[in-house]
Amino acid sequence: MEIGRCAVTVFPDPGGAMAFAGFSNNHERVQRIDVMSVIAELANVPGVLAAGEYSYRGDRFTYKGQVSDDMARMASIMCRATTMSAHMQADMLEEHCPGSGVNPPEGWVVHGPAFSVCNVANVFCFVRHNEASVNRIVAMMRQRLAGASHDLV
Amino acid sequence: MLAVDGVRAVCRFRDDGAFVEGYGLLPERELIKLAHFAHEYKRIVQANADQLSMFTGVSGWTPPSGWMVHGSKVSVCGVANLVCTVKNSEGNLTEVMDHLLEASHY
Amino acid sequence: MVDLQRLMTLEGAQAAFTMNDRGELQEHVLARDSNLNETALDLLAHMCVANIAIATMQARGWEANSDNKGFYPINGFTMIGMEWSAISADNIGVVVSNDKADYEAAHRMLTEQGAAG
Repeated sequence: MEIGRCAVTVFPDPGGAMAFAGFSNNHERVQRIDVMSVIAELANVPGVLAAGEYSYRGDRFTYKGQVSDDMARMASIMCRATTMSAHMQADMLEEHCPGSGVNPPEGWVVHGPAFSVCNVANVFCFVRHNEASVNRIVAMMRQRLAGASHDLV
Repeated sequence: MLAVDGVRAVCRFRDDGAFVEGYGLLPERELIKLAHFAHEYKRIVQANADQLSMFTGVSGWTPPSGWMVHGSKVSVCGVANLVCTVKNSEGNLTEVMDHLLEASHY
Repeated sequence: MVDLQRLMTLEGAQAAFTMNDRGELQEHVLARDSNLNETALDLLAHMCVANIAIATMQARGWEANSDNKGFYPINGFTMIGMEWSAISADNIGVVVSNDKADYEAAHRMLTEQGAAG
């Protein structure tokens, strides 16, 4: 897929089964529908390069935005890795300082010179600083993804 | 594994991180923590190996066979769903990793 | 010189701290009502350094493979916890309540303080 074209893509897992077949229960499917609308909403915000979602298991991802399939796959792998790391760190912090208020972590933001990457639960969003507000994006993500299950982390 | 020089504690955990068994010179509470840490660390190493492979296009990194964290006096070694702690002054990490690899096949 | 008290003027600020390149806590200020303590801040400081290092590696890899530039070098990392967020840049960190968090203002102030320090 060419860069610059908007797309919603669902990838088959390595075993060849289509992504939707990977859902284990209705709860996850319902969550999925909500997440898709969040991704669409985020991708429509001016200044957002791309928004997407990945499974905590790492076997599928979905995105919408102005990046190629390969780059979206790369983004989902990177974001998943950072999210896993954040959960481990929050667990450790909770161990050292019980009730500190970090656990479970809601997400993270990486600030680059021109772009920020915002991640809440298993949804990520690439944002151009000079065109979109990170505060607005994070607030929207936190609101729309509030109560997202961490059971599958 | 505890018969291997330098090994102080060893744990086995399930794929979901649940503690299966643990032995050695640590109280059970700490063995459970060790297993939990190893489970999360294994996933992070896997994720980093995936990224290295993805960015460089060089194969051979994934799936990672194991990992070692070298502390000043103690090291932690993991292979598959096994983890052990090793006193640096008493053990040989190569030997420990060989034994872990073998034990991981049981 | 980093002015931690100035960082504590951010709305909802619970703690401000500096760390060295290894992540060891150097200086810190805690709000009276904060649930955090020095041990937690030291661990948090290590996390900030670790996360910026990992994000830097990711940005490097991304830019080597993409025409989308503007991620490298990483300027900061924010961990959004359940109740509070830890925003870090230039070996300085600030913890703010999620309900009052202004990530852009915090990041701006951290960068200013980093340049001043």
